[in-house]
Amino acid sequence: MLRDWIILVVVFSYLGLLFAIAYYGDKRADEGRSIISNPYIYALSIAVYCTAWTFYGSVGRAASTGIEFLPIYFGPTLMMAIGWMVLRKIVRIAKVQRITTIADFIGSRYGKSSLLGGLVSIIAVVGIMPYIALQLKAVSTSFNILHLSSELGISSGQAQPVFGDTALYVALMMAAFTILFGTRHIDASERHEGMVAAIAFESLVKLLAFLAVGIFVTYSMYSGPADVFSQAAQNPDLARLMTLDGTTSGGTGWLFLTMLAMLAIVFLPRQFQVAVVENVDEDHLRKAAWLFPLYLFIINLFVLPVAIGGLLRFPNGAVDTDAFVLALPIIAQHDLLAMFVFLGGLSAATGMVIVETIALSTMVSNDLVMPVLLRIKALALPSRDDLSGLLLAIRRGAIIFILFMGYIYFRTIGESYALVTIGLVSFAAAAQFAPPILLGIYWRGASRAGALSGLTVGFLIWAFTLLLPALAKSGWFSTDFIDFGLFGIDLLKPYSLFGLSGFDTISHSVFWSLLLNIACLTGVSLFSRQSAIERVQATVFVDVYRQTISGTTDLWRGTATVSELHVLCSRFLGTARAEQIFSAYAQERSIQLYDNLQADPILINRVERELAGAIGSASARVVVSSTVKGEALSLENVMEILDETSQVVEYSHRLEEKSAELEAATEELREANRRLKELDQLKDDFVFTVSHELRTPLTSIRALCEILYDNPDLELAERQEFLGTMVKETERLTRLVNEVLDLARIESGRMEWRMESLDLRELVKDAASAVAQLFKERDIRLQQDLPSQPAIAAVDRDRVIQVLINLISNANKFSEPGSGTVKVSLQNAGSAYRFDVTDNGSGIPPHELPHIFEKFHQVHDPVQGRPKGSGLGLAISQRIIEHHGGKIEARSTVGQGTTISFSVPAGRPKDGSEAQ
Amino acid sequence: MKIGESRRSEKLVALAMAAAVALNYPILHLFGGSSLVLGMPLLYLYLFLVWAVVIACISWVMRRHKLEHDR
Repeated sequence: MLRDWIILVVVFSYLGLLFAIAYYGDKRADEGRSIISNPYIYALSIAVYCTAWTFYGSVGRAASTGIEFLPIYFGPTLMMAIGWMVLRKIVRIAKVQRITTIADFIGSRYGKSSLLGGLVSIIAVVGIMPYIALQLKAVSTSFNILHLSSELGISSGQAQPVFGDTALYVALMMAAFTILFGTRHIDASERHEGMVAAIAFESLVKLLAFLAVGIFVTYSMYSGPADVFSQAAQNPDLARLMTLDGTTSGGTGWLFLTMLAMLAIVFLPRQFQVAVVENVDEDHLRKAAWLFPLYLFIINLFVLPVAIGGLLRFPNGAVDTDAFVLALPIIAQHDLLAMFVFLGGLSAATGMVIVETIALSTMVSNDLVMPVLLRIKALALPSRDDLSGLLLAIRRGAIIFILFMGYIYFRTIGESYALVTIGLVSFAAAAQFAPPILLGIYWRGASRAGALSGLTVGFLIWAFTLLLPALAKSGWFSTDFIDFGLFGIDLLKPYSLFGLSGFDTISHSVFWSLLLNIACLTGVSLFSRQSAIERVQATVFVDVYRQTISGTTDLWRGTATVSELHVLCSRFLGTARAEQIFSAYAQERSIQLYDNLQADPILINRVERELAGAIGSASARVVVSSTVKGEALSLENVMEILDETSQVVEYSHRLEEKSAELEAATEELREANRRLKELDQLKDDFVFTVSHELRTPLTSIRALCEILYDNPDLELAERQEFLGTMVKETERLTRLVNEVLDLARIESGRMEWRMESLDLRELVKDAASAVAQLFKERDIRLQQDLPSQPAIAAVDRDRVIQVLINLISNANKFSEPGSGTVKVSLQNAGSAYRFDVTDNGSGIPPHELPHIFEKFHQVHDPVQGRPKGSGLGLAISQRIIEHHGGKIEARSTVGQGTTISFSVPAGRPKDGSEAQ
Repeated sequence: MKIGESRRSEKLVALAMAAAVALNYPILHLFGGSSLVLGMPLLYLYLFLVWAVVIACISWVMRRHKLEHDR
């Protein structure tokens, strides 16, 4: 049997040991030889997650719902798996911004808003207070069990006189510990190494204690887990616990519990404190990501065997299931183990209380009290001489206040509610911080108004669906609103809000509060404008990996002298620290700091960050702007900077567009130039060809003339022959010149057209008679195939005859004398009249066919090897026909003959240029 | 380095998602029966086994990268 004084001596010796460890940890930190800077201590300190609720409550939960205690530990495992992305980013941001608490984090993210920081602090205090009370209750209850171990049958929840209550003394010890090791530095963003060392030690103690009791129960009271389980299998009530039948909340409840625990491991204030604020090195996360889940795995191994062992030993509810862990060694008369288990429970409780109190007191002092004091003008706080003392006093006062409140809560209503439910209520409160933080670090658009409305709505729903019913059930006020709804409105029942039923109370509350929290945050953010500083902070948070530590995005445009800043620093941080900051700065930049020197923005920025570590980012901003003359980062300034930036962006964008246009224009010019060159080349070719065509007859005329001139006594017959040749050659010249002129006129559009309605048959007849002599000379037949009906069309008579003569004489040229036949036909082809000129000559080779309408293209006669004609006739014909709105084309088969067809539209042509 | 980093993140997300599925309904129904395996309840055995595998996987993904980093 354990005597009271022995228990008390052990308890206070243990707490004394904690003080010693913390003292040693701080001493080593001061010497620069940290004992906590390794991933193992880091993982153990995160294990502050396992509170008395885990230590005692898990078994209690397992005893009633079987394996449903597990999702609370699966959640953190999942979160640590993705912690490398999420948690590491939060840690990095907190380090860069010198974040001290979760309230500071949210306030800072949304434009260093003190309103938001204050709201988060209130939610945290209200939400976590029951949880602290729960720990005190666990200490008190476990002490009573140990104390009353001879009378185990009596309910453990008996009221104690205040001064006989162990919980009070434990709370006082905790307050002393927290004040000693939690407020050593004025800078709250600095690590509390001694405290962390003590917490890690406590995590080790509770793990070993639980393992000890687990092994004892499983292997000593029973012969191994198989024995426990097989005994349980005999009893249907216990067998139920080993299957899914034991669980009460079903798939949805299980999922919500997992999710809630995922969020809790990061967003509970104490978890944020150990995992983010106290983190020494980001890389420790890598190992802690599996070490911490491993810790949870081990501590949970024996939960179910202990629960079943307890139920087998204490059937019919003789002992509270939450007390099994302690009651089993006691009933087995194993005092030493019972003492160790009690210490394990004490470790779990005190560890949580210490860290939670540090986190909450920092919030209360930096995000609730300081902003209010700074805003009360009458106090003129920023201009006081030394504020570091006041600051510490506020923080210490906050610690005492929080522990006192926790104790009061425990004394008044803590007795009425099971351990498990209170823990989950706090989890649900902390989960409200998840949307503003998670969205805030990935989405720049999340705005202060959105976060404010989301948090408010989430908190109100949480309070209505969980906190108020809990208070009512504790007898503070009537429970009518639980059964009949607020104001008797059915839809406002706290456990089935808006008529939603079928959920357990926790899932129900989490669903509604998180849903509306997220909805308000995103909805309001999408429809509200961010202020300049919000935008700056949003960018700093979201893009934290892209920035250097100096944080140059934060811009001060005001002016302040070095001495003013120095004084400001000394007031809040103490002279020694201020001296340290300024000399370090001077050394870094290798400059001398004179008192009247204008401080540059970087120094102002650094001072603000240092102050943020001590009094929170929102308060630091207020304080610094009270000293920096000229508007400290006025909104207009930032807008200007942002505008300047966007103007530059816009300008360069436009430049890019311009240069693209320019490129396109250049390309067009190049193309035009290329075509000009081509035309130039064509013109050269044309002139060359024309000159060549002119020279040939001229040369022959000149040669004949010279012969006639040199030989005056030439025979008459010979003379006649020479003169005849000259006449022919001059005719050829005339024809060539006429053709060139025609072509030039047509191409330049100066040709005069005399359009009149004519019978096309007449044109064919006229053309045929014009060339009749030519055919007679070469003995080639010319056939006409004309329709019997008049073929009336509006054409220029002379030009069409010119085309016909050209085509017919061409056909003549390519036909063999004697056997040659040229056929001209005219037929009505609907909207047009079609002429075909067909010969049975040598034909045109296929590769020449596409080019025959080009200027000066001369078809080489395959037989004679010499071109005939100028090469302009077909080109002119084509242009004439095209002017009439018709088409000209050629078909040919080598050796069989050629057909050249053209058409002119029936009726009037498109061109209206009638004869003038 | 950068690529290894994002590849690791992808693995961790995939792992977390797989673990979330394996540790939740309706998969749990598959193991919700009342049979004892090796003297242990099937469900209990399954959950702790999956949990251990997940932890081992996390440590594997995290550790492997350290080797690359040190190289």
